[in-house]
Amino acid sequence: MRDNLKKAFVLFLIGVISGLSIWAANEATEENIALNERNRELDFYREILTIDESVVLNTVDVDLSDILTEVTVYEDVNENAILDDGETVFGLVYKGDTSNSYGDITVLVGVKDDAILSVAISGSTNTPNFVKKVEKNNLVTFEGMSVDDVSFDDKTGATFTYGSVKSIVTLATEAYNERGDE
Amino acid sequence: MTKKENFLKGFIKENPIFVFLLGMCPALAVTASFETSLGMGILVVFVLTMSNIVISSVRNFIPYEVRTPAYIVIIATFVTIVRMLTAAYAFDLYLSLGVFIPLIVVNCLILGRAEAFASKNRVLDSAIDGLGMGLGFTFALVVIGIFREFLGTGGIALGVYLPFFGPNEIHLQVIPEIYALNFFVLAPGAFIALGIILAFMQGRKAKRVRLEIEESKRIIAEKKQAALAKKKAAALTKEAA
Repeated sequence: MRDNLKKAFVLFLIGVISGLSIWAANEATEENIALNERNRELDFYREILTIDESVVLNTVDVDLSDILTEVTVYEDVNENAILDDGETVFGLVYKGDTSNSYGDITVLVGVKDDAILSVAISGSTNTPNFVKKVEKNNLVTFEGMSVDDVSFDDKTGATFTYGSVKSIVTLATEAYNERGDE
Repeated sequence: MTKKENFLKGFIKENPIFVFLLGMCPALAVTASFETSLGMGILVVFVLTMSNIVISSVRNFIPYEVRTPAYIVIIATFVTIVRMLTAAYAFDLYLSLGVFIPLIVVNCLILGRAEAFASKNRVLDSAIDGLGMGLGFTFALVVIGIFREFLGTGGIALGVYLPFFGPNEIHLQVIPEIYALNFFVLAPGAFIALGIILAFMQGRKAKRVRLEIEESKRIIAEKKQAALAKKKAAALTKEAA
């Protein structure tokens, strides 16, 4: 009994020290990680909406559902993180987070002037080769499509990854159309 | 074993990848380029050295029956910390290595050294062992990485993933890209590259062993001749007497 208690106590102690070490490391790195992730996200927006690297970007995020977020990307001239009058809006990006049988996937759909500018996969735990295949063969087909008339490749793009892309593009175009002339 | 021998044994004589074939998962998965190989190596050096130090420090307090879960918790702690540090300070490397950073926890080299060395030796020796073995592992990854990247792309890229190669990317193109064998940077290329390097290492080892055997045979023959000559000389002396 005493031996078992000793073993449990040692394991408990190791667990506590490990937990505290991880907490300290998290405290030290949390800000940098958040900054890196934010910069990566902004880089994706730059790529989708073809914005120059020198422009200071900011976003207004509106959660439309559990899956979809509407991101308004604008030039933050005043650097006050508020979308003021006179600041250039580059377009809208719909960010969809969903899951399929391969894992999780985040799809970005850039929309401007009633047309899809670009679609990108910004994060995924799906099989990398399927993701690469969809990126290479399917995502380019969306570029320039009207939001009122989106067509999908139902034959060659019949994978779970492409299925998720399809559902998020559909949700994004529906959300954009519902938005009207706002 | 001296401290120097303890440190150097991991490079060639007891190299984790080329001799013991330990940690083959990262050796095959992240060696498509020199920089990812070096990055993974640095992370493993940190985790291996730190876990060896901690395990050696607390080896007398951990009951024998629960040593494996205790070692795994210690190793997993360092892997989690290293993952956070990579995400904070080498974000491109973090994205490039992906799931292979958390998978360092199950790298049998680290648990193997904890069990075989750190749990039985003093802190300083364990730290030297961890550092030496980690650097040996890094050396092997870098050799495979350079081999694959060079044959697969015709050159070496620097500054893409690791921050300490400077702010700008440098591409050292030696062979025109059209002559590169692209498949070396793909998964089958990893197995073939490792096979070629292992064959080379084994070939060298076999040659060394053969030379040693020949040398020992020569020494034995010389000794035999010397003994025979001595015997003959003794017989002649006896005859003369």
